[in-house]
Order: sequence, then C-alpha cells, then structure tokens
Amino acid sequence: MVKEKTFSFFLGCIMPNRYPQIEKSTKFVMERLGYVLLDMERASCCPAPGVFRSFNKIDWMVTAARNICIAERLDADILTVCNGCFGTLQEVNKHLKENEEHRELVNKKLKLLGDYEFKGTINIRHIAEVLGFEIGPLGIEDLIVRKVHARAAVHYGCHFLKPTRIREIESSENPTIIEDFITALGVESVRFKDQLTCCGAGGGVKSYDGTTSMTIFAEKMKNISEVNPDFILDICPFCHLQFETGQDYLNKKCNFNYDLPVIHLSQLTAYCMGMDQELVGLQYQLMGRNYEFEKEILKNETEVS
Amino acid sequence: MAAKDEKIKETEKIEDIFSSKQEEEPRIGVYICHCGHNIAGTVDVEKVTEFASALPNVVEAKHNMFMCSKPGVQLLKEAIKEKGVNRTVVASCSKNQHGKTFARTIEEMGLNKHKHQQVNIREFDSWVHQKEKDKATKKAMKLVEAGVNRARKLENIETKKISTTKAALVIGAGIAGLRAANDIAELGIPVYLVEKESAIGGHMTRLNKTFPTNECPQCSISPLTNGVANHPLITLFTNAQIKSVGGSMGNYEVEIEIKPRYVKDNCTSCGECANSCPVEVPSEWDMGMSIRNAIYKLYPQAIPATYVRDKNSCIECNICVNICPVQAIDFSMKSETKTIKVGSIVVAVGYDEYNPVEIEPYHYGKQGYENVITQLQLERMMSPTSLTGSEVLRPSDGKIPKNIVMIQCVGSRNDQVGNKYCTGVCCKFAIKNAGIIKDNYPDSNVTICYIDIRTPGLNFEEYYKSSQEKGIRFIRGRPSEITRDPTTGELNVIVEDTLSQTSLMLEADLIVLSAAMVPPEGIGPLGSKLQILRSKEGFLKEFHIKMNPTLSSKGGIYLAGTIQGPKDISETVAHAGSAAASAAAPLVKGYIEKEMLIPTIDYDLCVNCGLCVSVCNPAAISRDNYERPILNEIACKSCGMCMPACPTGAIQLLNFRDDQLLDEIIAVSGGGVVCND
Amino acid sequence: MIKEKDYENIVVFMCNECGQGSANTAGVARMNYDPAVKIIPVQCTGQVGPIQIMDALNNGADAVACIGCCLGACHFFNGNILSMHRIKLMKKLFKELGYSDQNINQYTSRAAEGETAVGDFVDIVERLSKAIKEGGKFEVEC
Repeated sequence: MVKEKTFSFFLGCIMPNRYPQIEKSTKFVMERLGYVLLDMERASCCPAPGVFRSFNKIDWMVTAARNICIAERLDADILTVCNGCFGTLQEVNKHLKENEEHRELVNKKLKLLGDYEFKGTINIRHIAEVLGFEIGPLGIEDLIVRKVHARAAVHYGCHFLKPTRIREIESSENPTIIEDFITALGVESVRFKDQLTCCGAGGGVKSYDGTTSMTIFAEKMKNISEVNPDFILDICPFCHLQFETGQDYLNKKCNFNYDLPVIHLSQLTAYCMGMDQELVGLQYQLMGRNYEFEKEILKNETEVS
Repeated sequence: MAAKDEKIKETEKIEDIFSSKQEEEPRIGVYICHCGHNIAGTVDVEKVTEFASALPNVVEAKHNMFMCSKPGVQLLKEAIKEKGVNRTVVASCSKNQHGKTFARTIEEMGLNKHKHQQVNIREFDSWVHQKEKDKATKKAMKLVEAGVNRARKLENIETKKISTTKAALVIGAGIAGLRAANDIAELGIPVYLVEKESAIGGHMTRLNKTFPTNECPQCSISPLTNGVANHPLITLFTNAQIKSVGGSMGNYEVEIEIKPRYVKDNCTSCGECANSCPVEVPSEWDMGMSIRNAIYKLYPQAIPATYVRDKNSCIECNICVNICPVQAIDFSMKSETKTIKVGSIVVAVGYDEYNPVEIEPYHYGKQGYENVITQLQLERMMSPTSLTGSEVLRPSDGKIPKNIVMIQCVGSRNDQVGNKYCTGVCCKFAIKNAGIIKDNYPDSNVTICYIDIRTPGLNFEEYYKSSQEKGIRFIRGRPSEITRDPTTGELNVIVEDTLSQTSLMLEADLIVLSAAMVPPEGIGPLGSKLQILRSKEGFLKEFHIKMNPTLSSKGGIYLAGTIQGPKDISETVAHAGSAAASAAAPLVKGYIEKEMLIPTIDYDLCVNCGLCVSVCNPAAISRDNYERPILNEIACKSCGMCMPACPTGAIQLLNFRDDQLLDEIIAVSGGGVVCND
Repeated sequence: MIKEKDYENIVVFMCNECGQGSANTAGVARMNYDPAVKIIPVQCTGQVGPIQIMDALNNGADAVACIGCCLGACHFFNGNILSMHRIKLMKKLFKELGYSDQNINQYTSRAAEGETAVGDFVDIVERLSKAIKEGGKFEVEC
C-alpha cells in the first residue's frame, strides 16, 4: 500500500517561515533513521484546527483533504512536527475515512479545485509518536552519538494527544511518551504544576485576545520557572513561537527576567544524533541564545554513518 | 448405545401423551355471544352462527345473550354431555376476561381445560368497528373460522404437581441475605446460608453510621446477625462459595465449597494468636484503614467469632499454633464440599464500590495522591477500630485536614467512563459524612461538589437542609480534575460553579470521592452457574421491573438486595422480605403447579444444531452427551421462541405448533372458506 | 368482483402481554381502526418466525405485522428483539428479490395505552398503501 520508511513531509506555516532550524533538524533526524522525506508540492496551510474549523467546518475539511490528497498521490504517510497541523490532518483523515456522507460532499468540492479525490489510503503521523513509540527509547539508544544531561520542562501542548478517542496515542491525563524518549537521550523531565495546560496561543487566542493569551502563558511560565529547568522542550512550532515571544513580552512589559531556551524535540534529537550545536539554531531564537548543551559524548561522530 | 436408546424411549413416551395426532374425531361446539348490545349491536350474530354451523367438524353452533351467564354456560355443559362435543369455541370477549370461565366449565364436565378456544369478537371487532357493521360481521366470521380451525387440533395439556424440597438456599449474608434467611426460617423452612467472607454482615457492618438517624449500623444489625447465627433452622456456611447448581425450580441440588479456616470450631476468640502474629498486612475489610495479622477476625464483633488464617501472608512460624490455649489452630485443614438439596434459591450477594482508578483526571490510587479516598474508606477511617482511632486524618501525613472536598457522581451518571445510571444513595451518604465531619471538626471547611442533590423520601429533605445549616458548602459543578503541585504536593480541585458561572480552584487536603455502587466481582461466574440473566449494567435482571422485582429470569431463583440494583438499607430490607415470601411460597405449599405447555422435540428431524439451546432465555433446553437437546419441563416458560430458531421444525410448542398456527392463519389471511356478503 | 380498497386482509400477530393488552385497551376505549386488521394471539412475538409470516402472505394476507412489548419490557426477556431482527432480515431479502419491503413490519405497543396499538395499525395500512403504489402486491406462491 503506502511506501515503507517514507513520509510526505508536511511543513505547515510557522516552521518554514519562522523556525527553519526545526525543519533542518527534522530532516537530519529522519535521514539518519533511514527514512525518505518527500516534499509536498502545492501544500497549503493545514488549516488551523481552532479558527478555521469554527468558521466553516466543511471548507476546513476540504482544505485539509486537499493536502492529504497530495500525500496520497505520493503514496506516503504524512509526517508533521506541529500539534496544530497534526490536529487538523489526523482528525479530518480519520473522519472522512469513516463518514461516507461527508466524504462524498468533500470530494464534490475538491473537484472544483482540480483533480483531487480523497481516497483514505494514508495515515497522519507526528514526529513525537514516531520517535516516541515507533523508534522508541530503546531504538534511539544505538543511534545517538552523545547524550545531553539537562533538566527539561516538557510541554505536550493540546492537539497531540487530545481528543483521546480520536488520536488513540496515549492517555492525555498522564502521558509519558516524551519523557520516556528523552530519558534515553539523557534528559530528565522535571514535573511542574499544571504541566498539561495549553500554552495560550492556539484557537485564535493569540491573534484575537493577546492579553488573555499572555495571561495564560504567564501562569505557565511561573509554574515552569519554579522548577528551574535548563530549557523548555516542545513538539509544536506554534507553542515554540509562544514560548519565545511570550518570554520576550513578559520581560519587556512586566519586568520579568526570563531567558529559558525553547527547544523542539527535533532539535534535541538531531543534536544527540550528531548535528552541530550551531545548526540547532539557538542563536537565531530570542531566548537562551548562548545556551550550550551539556553533552556526554558516546561515540565518535564519524562512527555513525 | 443402550443409554441412547433409553433416552429416546423416554421422550417417545412423552410424545405419545402430547401428540398432535388426534385420538378422537374432533366434535366442535361453537357459541357466539351477543354480550347484550356490545357485540350484537354491531355484528350480525345470527349470520355468524349460521356460517359457523357449516364449518367442518362443527357439531353445533348456537348464539346466546350472555355466554358467561348461567344459561350461557349451560349450553356448553349440555353440548358436552349430550352431543359428545369434545372441544369448544366461544366467540365473545377477551381471553383475560372470560377465557378461564369457559375453560373451567369444560373441565368440570371432564374435558381437558385446554380444549377450549376463546375468540375475541368484542374488543377486537365489535367495539372497534362500530360504524362498519358489514365488515365487522365478515371479520367476525373469519375470526370464528380461525378459532374453529385451531380448536380442531387442540391437544390435552397436563397440569403437573411437582413436589418441592422443603429447604431454601440464601447466597450472601449481608443485610439482604440475613433478612431473607430469617424470614424464610420463621416460616418453618430450613435455610442454608452461604457467605464467602469469614464473617456475616456485609457492607452494612462496614458503615460508620447510617442515614438519616446517624445510628450505628452494627447496633442495628446485631440482633439480626445473632438471631440468624442461633436460629435452629438456619445452617450457616462461611468462607464458602457456590460450586455448582443443578436441578430446577422446586428441586435444586447445589454444591458448596467451604474453604478451610485453619482454625477449629472450639476457638474461644481470645485473640492470643493475632496478638502474637508477627505478620501485618493492610486490612481489605477496612479498605486499608487498619492493619490485620495473618491470623485474624474480620472485625471485633464478627460472627462467627472463630478466627481465620490468611494462608497467603502466613509465614508459618507456628507461634499461634503453640500459643493457642485450646489448640484450635490446625494448618492441615482442607477444603470441604457439601451437597445440599433445596427448593428455592435467594441470591443476595450485594454490590462492590466502584473503583475510581478508571477516572484518570482524579488520579485515585496514584503516588502523590494519597489524600484522594472513597466514601467507604472514609467510613472505615471514622470507625472506632481504625488506625486513626476514628479521627479523620490525611493519609499522606496523618494531620487533620482543614479543607475537605467531596465529589459526587464518581462512576455514576457518566457517559464516558463508569456507568450511566444514578446510584441514588451517594447524595445521602455524602451529606451524612460531611455532617459528621463538620460536627467533630467545626473549624474545617467541608465542600460537596454535586450535579444534582437527590434526597427523596421522608426525612431526607430535612436532612439536606440541616446539613446546609451546619455550614457545609454545596457547589453545583462536576470537578474536571484534581491537580497536584509537584513541588509542594498540594492538591487542588478544579470545578466550575455553574450557578454563578465561576471557575474555581479549591484547596483540598482531603478529597472524598462518592463512588457508585456496581455489581460485585464474581457475579459473572455465579450468574452463569445459576443460569440467570443480567441487566445491561451488570446487575441481575428482575422478572418485571414493576410487578416482580424479586424474581429472577428463572423460576425458583429470587433476588434480594443490591444485586438487583443500587438501593439503600431500608429498600434492601423491604426487597429481601419480599423475595423471602416469594421463595417460601412453593415450599410452604409443598408443591408447584405447572401447566405443561412445553415444546416437544422430534428427534428424527432434529439435526443437533443447538440453536434452540442458545435462544432459550430460562435455559430450559440443555444438551446431553450426544449433543441432543433435552428439555427441562419445569424451567420452561412457554414462550415459544425455540420454534422459529429451529431450522427443521423439530421443536414444536404444544398447542402452538406450526400446523396449528397455519390453520388459524389461513382463515384470517383470506384463504379458507369464502364468506358471501 | 370490484373491491373497495386494494387490500382486504392484514394479519397482525400480537403477543400475550403488551400486544393483546393494548388491543384490548383500544377495544374498551372504543377506538376505531380498519376492519381489515385481524389479530392472531401468540405467546410472544419471538415465537413468530418466517414460516408464520410466509404462511400468512401465501394464503392471501396483504400485509403482516408483529406487535410486541416495548424494548426492554419483553416478559420473556428478548423475544421482541429477536422478532425485530427477523423482520429486518426478511425485509432485506424481499428487497433483494425485487418485492416491496413495506408489507412486513415489527412494532411495539403498551398494554395500558390503546392508542399505541391503533397507531401501529394505521402505520401498517399506510405502508401497505405505499407498497401497493410502488409496485403491486406481494405475489402468492413464493
């Protein structure tokens, strides 16, 4: 059916525009793991699972289905590194596979956009569960060249695990998938209060009501700073953006002194698999520009092919 | 081979008695009732009579003003005596109304009472087609023809008197089982009472206080437990479970397996063994709120007072064996099996408290959340024998809690996890416990988070009002989660007060979950041994929710208490009393009368597919060693569902056979005799 | 012979408990319904199988229905549900064979409410009329 060890790489919006280092890291990791990443030409915004869906659910499904069709043509599952994109694509993919009435309606509209037809032949994957379950902590151990000894505040975000009955990845009340994986990389996850809450960016909140967005975020930063981590680990470029610009905002507007580096799981994994610290790109981010990973070298870089 | 032949011979004998082959020529008498104006005003009864008299095998057809009157009934009697009529058809009112009248009449004249066919041309015809007299008359003719066709092939149905074993079995010795056992024994019937724990009393003895009077349940139940233990007609088996059940209504044979106590009956209950036992484990009976030893008594007032040894935690140091002043301890004791014969079985195995582990956001049982407990654990904590000495303390550090939050509907009224139903008792016991805490710790803050407060019944609204006056705070909202600060370990309850539409984060150092009542563990295997049906929630299904809540789906087996559905103690006692009366009735009478309206099986046609077995709800059909279906006449409920399930038509319900129904259908479908307008 | 209506015989199997109960109640209340409806009493609608239904249709019945207790209230636990499944399957079969599937139906009624029985009868007639319009009556000799 679908090609093995091949993914259609869905870039989304924020990553290619604001955080190309995450894209670079992801490509590094997947290649080292032996996967082929195919470009999805003519892919659009996913579209966002909060704002778009609440305006027009049908058109939201049509736009998402068009992106899925591109991947179906490439005959490879979609890989995304963003919670929002995952939320939209996974949910629409599952829904259209199961609901005949909506599938027919969506296909009718797709025909107006070109030669698109949703067939339901692929699955949608998120980097966190590909690394966390498919590769897993045991699978990654042999492939890393160095460990990072640090304490990380892990941020799961919203759309990765919820709603549980649709995502079917892990319990959203007490997840351990990311913690278990980064332990293999040497990183310790420090628990903080209300760890599983939203970052405050999604659902149109950041653009519509910046104050509320920052209020939610400030509460989260307070809880995180109480446990004094070395950096914040996320699995979504939008959360990434929120943590970055949010800390900046709080420093400027409320006289805080936050400087916690914000690191995406791809960046951390790529570094452990041998990518240069420079390519991790912290110097291009707002926070933690001078942070250097405390590493423990396991094997020579040249040993890893 | 010989055994097989024997079995077939037996069933052939029954076949002979209930054969649809007629031993005699059918001579049918048809009687059309005017019922005053009720029928005759719409239906032309003379025409119908004339039509009926022309039907084959009809010896005479008459009409009468009131068939149920003395002269009307006299017609039947004369016809039987003088004209040799051997089956009767009366076209009048409904079967419920006067079917029995005519059936009794022909029985008096020596005929089998099932040889009467009642045709309804009043409720089913004259009363509902008052404006269409022609059509009503024509319909009446067809209905009478259908009745006559049926009557032609009616069979004799025997009424059997089955003598019952004068003894009863009560499974479960909680308040329901104790009440039922006591009531049955008081009628002079010997009772076997089987309890799986080492002592009787059930959940009621685990409660600290009972609503609405806040009295001590141990005190309330003590006369009953002692009464039952000392009753001359009650034989008590503790540490025992049901191994197998055979037989049917009126005559059951039950195997009971009694697990060894390892302590003989001469135990004086002095407690020296427990005092010297080095092993300490959390007490399951106390929900972990106290410690017991490997040799122990379930609770201080336990009956029987004999101690019991927990083989799994015992390290066999033998200190207790040596220290016992009467040498009662014997590690070599083995399981015993006892077989008893009883006429009725009462199932009173109670309930279990829902385990809230399933509700992940409440984190029950997880490390760091020790202060989240259930109401039953709270009851045990508040009881005098607990580790805390009946103080309400935080399990995490033993300090007195300042902010107590109770969460209602945990595992009830839930569409996602747990159960959809409302347990109906939790509001009352939460209010009770909250009240007790507030009385004993007036400075504490007690909050109850609820969806609705349901306290029906006399005295309970007053109970609720007085708890509000004590200063207990009621918040209408279902808490979404219990959060924990990892640095301080503090717990908070997140809930929206839906009345003021405010989101709240309640500080809580003791959180009590009002967990649902669910069917007890082990009911699956027990239910299948008894072959009774369960409701979709898992409790045992009653025969009729309104008219018979204490009879199970199988005759002779009765339900008492919460095993039939969540109840409080008053409802349980009433329910158990009713079950006891029903269970005792056939035993006091000495016999059960059953009309043998049962199916007959033609083994030549039967292909042993077993479909009839799977469709039969009272499990009245089983399979023998050769996979052939065998009927349990007594368990059969005469529903006829086995018939359409059979692919070859081998199983036929007497008097409702395919060919009998066909005759009736032909007349009514438009076939049969053409009736001219 | 010119017939007034296109149908003449509707056979309804009604169970001992709620089925006949509701018909009796309808009678006592003197409610009106089509005289083409003729009731055959059975123990439980679970007792009615394809044989009985085809017997009725083959012998001239225009429509056949089973009326039993409400779901969950069957006195023999699930006879009404079995009957419902049977009729569902038979409808499917009729459709596949090219006949209308509106001639056979399953209903429930409440013993204390006569209007539930009458309502069911009215529905039978409506569906039968629809079936006749769609493509003729059910042919005899299946």
